[in-house]
Amino acid sequence: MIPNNDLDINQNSYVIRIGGEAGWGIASAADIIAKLFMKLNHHLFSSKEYMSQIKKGHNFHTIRISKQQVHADLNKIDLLLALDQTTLDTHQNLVSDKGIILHDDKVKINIEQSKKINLIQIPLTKIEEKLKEKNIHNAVYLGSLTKVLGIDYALLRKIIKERFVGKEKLASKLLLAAKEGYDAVNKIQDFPHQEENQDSKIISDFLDGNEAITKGALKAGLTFHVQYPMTPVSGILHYLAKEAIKNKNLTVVQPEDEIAGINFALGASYAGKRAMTATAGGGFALMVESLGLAGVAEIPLVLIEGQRPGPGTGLPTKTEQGDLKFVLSAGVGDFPKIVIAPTTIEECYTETKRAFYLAEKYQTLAIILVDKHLVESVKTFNLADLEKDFTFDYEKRINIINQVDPSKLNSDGLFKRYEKDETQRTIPGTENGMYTCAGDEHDSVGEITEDRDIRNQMMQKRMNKLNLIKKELPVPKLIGPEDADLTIVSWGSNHGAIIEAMELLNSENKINQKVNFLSIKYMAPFQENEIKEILEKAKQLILIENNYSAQLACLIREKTGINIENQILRSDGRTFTVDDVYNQIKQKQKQT
Amino acid sequence: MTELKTFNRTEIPNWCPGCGNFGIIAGVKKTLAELDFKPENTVLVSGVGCFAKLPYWVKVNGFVGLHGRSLPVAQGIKLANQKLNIIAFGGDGDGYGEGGNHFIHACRRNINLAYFVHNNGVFGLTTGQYSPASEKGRKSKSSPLGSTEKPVNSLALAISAGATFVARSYAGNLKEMVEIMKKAILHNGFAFVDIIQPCVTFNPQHAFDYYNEKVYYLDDKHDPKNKLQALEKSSEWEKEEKFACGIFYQE
Repeated sequence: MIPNNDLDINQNSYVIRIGGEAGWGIASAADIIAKLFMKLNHHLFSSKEYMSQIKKGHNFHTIRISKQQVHADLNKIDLLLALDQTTLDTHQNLVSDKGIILHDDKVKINIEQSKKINLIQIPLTKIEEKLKEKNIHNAVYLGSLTKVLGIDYALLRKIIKERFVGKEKLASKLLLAAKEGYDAVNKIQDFPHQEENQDSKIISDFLDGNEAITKGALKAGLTFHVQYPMTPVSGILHYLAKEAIKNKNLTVVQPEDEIAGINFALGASYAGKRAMTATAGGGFALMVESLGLAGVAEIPLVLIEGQRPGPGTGLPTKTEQGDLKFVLSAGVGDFPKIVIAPTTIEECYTETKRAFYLAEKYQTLAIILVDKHLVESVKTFNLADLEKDFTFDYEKRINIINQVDPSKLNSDGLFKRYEKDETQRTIPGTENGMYTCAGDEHDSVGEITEDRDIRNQMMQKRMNKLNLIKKELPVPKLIGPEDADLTIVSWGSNHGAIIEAMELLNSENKINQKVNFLSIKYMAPFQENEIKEILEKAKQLILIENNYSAQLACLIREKTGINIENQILRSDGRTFTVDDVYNQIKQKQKQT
Repeated sequence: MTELKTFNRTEIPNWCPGCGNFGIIAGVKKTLAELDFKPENTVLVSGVGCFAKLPYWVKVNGFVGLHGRSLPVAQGIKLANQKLNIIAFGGDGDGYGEGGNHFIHACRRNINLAYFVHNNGVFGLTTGQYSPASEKGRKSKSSPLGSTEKPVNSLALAISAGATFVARSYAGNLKEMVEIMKKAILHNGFAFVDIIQPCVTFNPQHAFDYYNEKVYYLDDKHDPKNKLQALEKSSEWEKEEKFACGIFYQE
């Protein structure tokens, strides 16, 4: 989907795309490019698209560089590093006027001459022969990029050395190749160096959503993580496995399957650990029965669900928001389930912290629902700035009995952990604090029962948690002008592209075409009153979702009775760019 | 020694009169008392089935989870707090069918806990269908012409999956059962005991009379350090109608 570009989006953004086969080191090259521009004090947003195979295929990374924080992809490329023919053929149309294409002597050039594009050929064959090395093109291209953009070679050398500490042999091989690439081409421009802010460092962190989630979880006192690998959230397992080497309070387990995974987590949480598990839709499907166990036995658990396109195996490495309805309804019977869908990488951090707080306080399941585009895209920001968004003293274990009055413990040994209004729990090892953590309906000490009155009391006690949780959630607010003519409604990772498109549309100052945006984050418990009020006031509504059946629209209609007929949907596995949103909103505005 | 009555609850188990589970719950309490375990430091973990109600009727910490999932829960608890004494329970449907995958991986993971499987060769709580441990040809509501499947050899499976303690016991002999349970719990690693538990309601042809005759106990001639001998011994019942009890294999 390449719309007509009738806008000049964000003059301040410079977009580099690097593409090639799986196994060529495209990801590490993209990471090095990102670090290069971070050192020059630029903000970045970087996304990747790859195929579900380890070698060959076509993978590409896009790095958007800007003076301000940026949150989404654009439909343009200023510098294309085409490491193979497929990259050149697939992406050359997006290269902007006066843009640059770096390619080598192994590809056939077939470019329409209407655009003024700087084609720069790297003599790769010659370099490979000279160095007697194969599989070095990523380094050669990095060298050429550095030269073309007028960046100091010493900076590239520093970053490569830093990145390959402990692998000095590999680093020197790459540096030799990079230097050849640097020397083989000419400078085209001097990339502007952004001055550092006097008061503070403007950029301190460069994280993808997965890493932001792990940082939030660790900040919230995570001590037990269990996860069966699955795209797009395997990064969480990798980060935490590494973290556990030095963090002695953290246990990380890779179980035999997702059913084992969630049950390991429930066991650990019952025994007093702060526990988390993570999976994608397919693994989540396997966990479903156990969600209800967390609900009925009142065990705190944080679960990360990273959406990717189904059904079945679907498009395993692409993005979609197709699991919303499934996650909301997953489980046997009614139990209190928190579902939070962060909209930015920053919120992957803050909302994970909130999920831990709510899960522990209300002793139930909290799901963080993210998507591939959110958890595998990377952006720059200051983690320290986010602390104020949700602060809590996680050292304090809420409702755990060994911090509470021991007079509540009976000498008969059994603790009324499930008594009406009781929110405290003991952990095994507490004298006179025993109970049965029960998957069956149970009485106050966890004894199995089929008594009608007890059943009613227990259902009410558990379900009332949702009312209490709702009071703790931040109130939904419109983004943009109050009096807009059109209100966009969306969720999840679409947020970034919509915000930027909205700002562009509003900056055009066209009469009767002002736009604002309702970004819905808390799916369960759903803030129906507040959301209904906002939607009723809107002049016109339009919904944007990355799924086939408009699942958020279904939820809104279920909860508020409001039907949003005007919808922009996609389910091709790709994400909304700023241009996509801008152009499609423009088109809709023309129609009305 | 902790007094036996310390582990008693006021509720009375609702198993069928004469059920093998009565023997097993008595054995568990006696074992805990003789090992002098503090109730608060002990956790009994189970899944779903007649057997799975056992933790409700012993005064210790209990976790009654989902069908077939006692092992992952128990391993999670043990990893969370190494000081706790953990016994996980399974049934032949629960542990060998629904939870079969967890069984294999718990064996090779070798986390320090005991796993007792109440094996009655039948689905009891769902009224008598054939189970993964039922003999071939068994007629039941779900196999009116007789089951066509071979029964699982759980002992051989555990040994080949890497379990470091593998034993069989019989609910009809409390004294011998308690000895095995104690050894399993004291074993440093994953200790698996398949316990023959007669179901008097749905498997009456294999009730106590039958097993009293067919069960015998391993003696000095069996070397539990010898893996091949252990594997051979664990397949004996497939050829002859007799059931050896005792420690088959221990590392």
